Amino acid sequence: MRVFSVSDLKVRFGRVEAVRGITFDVDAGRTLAIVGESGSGKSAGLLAATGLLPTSASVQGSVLHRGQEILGASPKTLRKIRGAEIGFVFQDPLSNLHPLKTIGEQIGEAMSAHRRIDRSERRERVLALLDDVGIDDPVARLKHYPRHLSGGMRQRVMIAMAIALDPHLIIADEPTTALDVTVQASILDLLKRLQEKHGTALIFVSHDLAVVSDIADDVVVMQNGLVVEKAPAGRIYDSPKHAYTRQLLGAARLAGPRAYAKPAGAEPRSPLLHVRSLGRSFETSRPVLKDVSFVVGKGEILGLVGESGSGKSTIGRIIAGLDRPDAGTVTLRGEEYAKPGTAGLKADIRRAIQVIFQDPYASLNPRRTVEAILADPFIIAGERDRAKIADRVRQLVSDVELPEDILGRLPSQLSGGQRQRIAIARSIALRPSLIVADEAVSALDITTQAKIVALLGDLRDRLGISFLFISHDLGVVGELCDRVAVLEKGHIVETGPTRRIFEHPEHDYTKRLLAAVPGRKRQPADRSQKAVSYAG
Amino acid sequence: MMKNSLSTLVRSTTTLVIVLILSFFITRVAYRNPAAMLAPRNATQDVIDGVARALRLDEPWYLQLWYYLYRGPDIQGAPMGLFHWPPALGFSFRKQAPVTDLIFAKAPVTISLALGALVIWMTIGIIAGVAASRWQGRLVDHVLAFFAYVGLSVPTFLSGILISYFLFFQLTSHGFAWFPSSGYVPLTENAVEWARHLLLPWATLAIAEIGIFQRIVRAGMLDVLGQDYIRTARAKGLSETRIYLSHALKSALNPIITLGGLELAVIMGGAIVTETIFGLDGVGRMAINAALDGDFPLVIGTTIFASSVFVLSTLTVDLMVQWRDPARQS
Repeated sequence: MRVFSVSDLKVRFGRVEAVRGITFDVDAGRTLAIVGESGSGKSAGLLAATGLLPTSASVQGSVLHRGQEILGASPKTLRKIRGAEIGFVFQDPLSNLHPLKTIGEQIGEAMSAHRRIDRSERRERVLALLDDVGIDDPVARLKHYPRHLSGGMRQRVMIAMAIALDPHLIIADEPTTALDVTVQASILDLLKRLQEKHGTALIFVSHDLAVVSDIADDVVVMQNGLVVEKAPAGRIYDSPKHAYTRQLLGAARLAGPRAYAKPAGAEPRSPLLHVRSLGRSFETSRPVLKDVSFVVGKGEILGLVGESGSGKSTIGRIIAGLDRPDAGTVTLRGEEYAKPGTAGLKADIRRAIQVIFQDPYASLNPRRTVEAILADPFIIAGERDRAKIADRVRQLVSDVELPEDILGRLPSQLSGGQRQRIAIARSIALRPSLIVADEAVSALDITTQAKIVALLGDLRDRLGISFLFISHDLGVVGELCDRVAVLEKGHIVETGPTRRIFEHPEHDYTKRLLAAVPGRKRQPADRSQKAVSYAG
Repeated sequence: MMKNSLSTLVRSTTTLVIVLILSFFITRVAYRNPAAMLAPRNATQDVIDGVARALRLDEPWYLQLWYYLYRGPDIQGAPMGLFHWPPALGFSFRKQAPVTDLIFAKAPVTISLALGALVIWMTIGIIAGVAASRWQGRLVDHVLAFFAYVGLSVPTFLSGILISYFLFFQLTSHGFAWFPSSGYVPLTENAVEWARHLLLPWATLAIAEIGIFQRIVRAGMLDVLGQDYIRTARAKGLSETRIYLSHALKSALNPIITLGGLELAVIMGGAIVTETIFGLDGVGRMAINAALDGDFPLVIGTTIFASSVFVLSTLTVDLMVQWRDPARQS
């Protein structure tokens, strides 16, 4: 039975045409995946179809929900459908849950918005739902606020809200993008299980073909507001027709990385950074780091992987001098600079170690041009000659493969990938020996991600910069890093060359992480198709 | 929690002590010759010197400060200082009465005035602000914005006089004596009369505040309405009324509570113009008269009253915000 069908949908924001006529439909019990980069119009299309876009957007076309036209329907009609017949799961569960309302209130509300239901019955239903989505100790959770829950738990709460009234259709917009790989796997399982149990139709939006490969029945590929390819999942993965689909498939790491980084020796040639039995604890909880030791070699990329909360970022912060250890030391080129009781870094160390953060937008001043942002490091280092600074800024821009006309723009006028390139350019300005990259590509689209990864590898080869590459994404780590250290609950459980870790993991935790990587069910039919254009 | 409240208490007390000492020095700098101001008119130099000696104004400043803190200016021979038990704020030179008693006598007027105005401006400000955000860019929004800016830009002495002229004078002269022109009836005596006497001053104070608050509520609401969780609320199929009042307002309220506390404290410290226009015998008028008379124990006393109110209301605001925000608990 046809549950939802969209035909020739167009969405405009002012003069920008975000969606330029898309058509797709989904039947009961089926899963439709809509895949494309951010800005391709996939979310805008779905929000427009369900009347969730701000009124400033103009929407045309036709949207049938169980045979009834809902585009341009009265707000009251739409309100009755949303929540009761169509459930929504959005990307970032923290920002999508009300921070000042308890879990119980928020799930209960989804029911009382549509049905007359007395308090005790509602409570029973909420408890059953929490249990259904796999939240333990539901009675205690009722009174918790979103902040008390982990990312995965929050997404389970979102799902509980979405299925509260047994909708015919669930629209899940990048529901696992902000989550760890193991949590992602469990959320995908949950969605699949609920769908099978209730026969719900599911529309699953993602930028990553690997993520949807395990659950999609049909796939719609979108680019620049248009559907470029629409086919059953098998055909998309085995014989993609459109060049863009092939590009997305190439970027998607179906079953592990496409190619491992060049194998380095078992031990790095000359050690640059020594981390020795690092420990760190914060007042209230268990120790964040316990006896962490590793070495980063000169011109080497060391990957540091683990789930959120494992202490990855704390290690990065200590190495960058943004935090101090409670135990242990960090040594750069034989000079010990971080140990308990020290605060701040000497100027030469600060110059030698740079950091790139996850969110390039948050780490660039929104009111300053790219040129001013990139001139800063030189000015801080004491350079006064304006012509010389301008020269070096231009050199930096070309180092990160950006056009020169970008210099006059503001961060808001750049794409995510361009912003991250600017952040990278700033970090290499003073030719550091080590860059700590903390989830530096996690916020980027998969195709952009591939390009940035290539850039980082290139910087290592050309400039001999070492990287500590912190990431929860094993695919990226496999492609870029020479060696990998696996962190579980503040403790390093395994270190070794990338290929060895990926192909012959020794520790159980590493095995579990690798098993959770999505897309294991499907291997590309032809492995030679993995050619990706890194140009531009 | 225990540790937290203790440090808050210590901080508040320190603030008050610093205010006390600073205001003591300001009175020392402000009045070149307080003894002359306090002495009877046409007093001879001998009399002025006598007053100065009696009030120890001829001694070095640190001794004066000590006398003030420990004994208070003890004209009657009974120590009434802050460091004496029971602690008091000294003795008014002009009014010939303990400062503490004077303040306690006038405080109910000022507190009634400020709290009543607070209730009115918060209620109307929040309703108007939510309405303006609900119909952003529409006629309602523009009309409310117009009133907000008028209310903001008309000074209290003008709005007070206008309100008094129309709602008291014109109404009364046309036979509707709904509001008295001035005076105060204690709440404990007659609640209806209390409110009837205060309604016009409340309105005067509230007009300006409503202007500020509805704009801030509107801005806060619009900010929150752009959040992802509002979209989630719509996706759940909640009604717009529910979304505005239960979801958006709940988050937008914190800055409004904070600002409300600050404004309340400012008014408590002395709504001098309003008190004067409506003949309310409150702390503000007493403070002004004391300052003009050079009655420095009373000046310091009213200053301390104002800062205590300030500290107290910030404390209340902090507690309210903390209680509303689960993340700051436990």
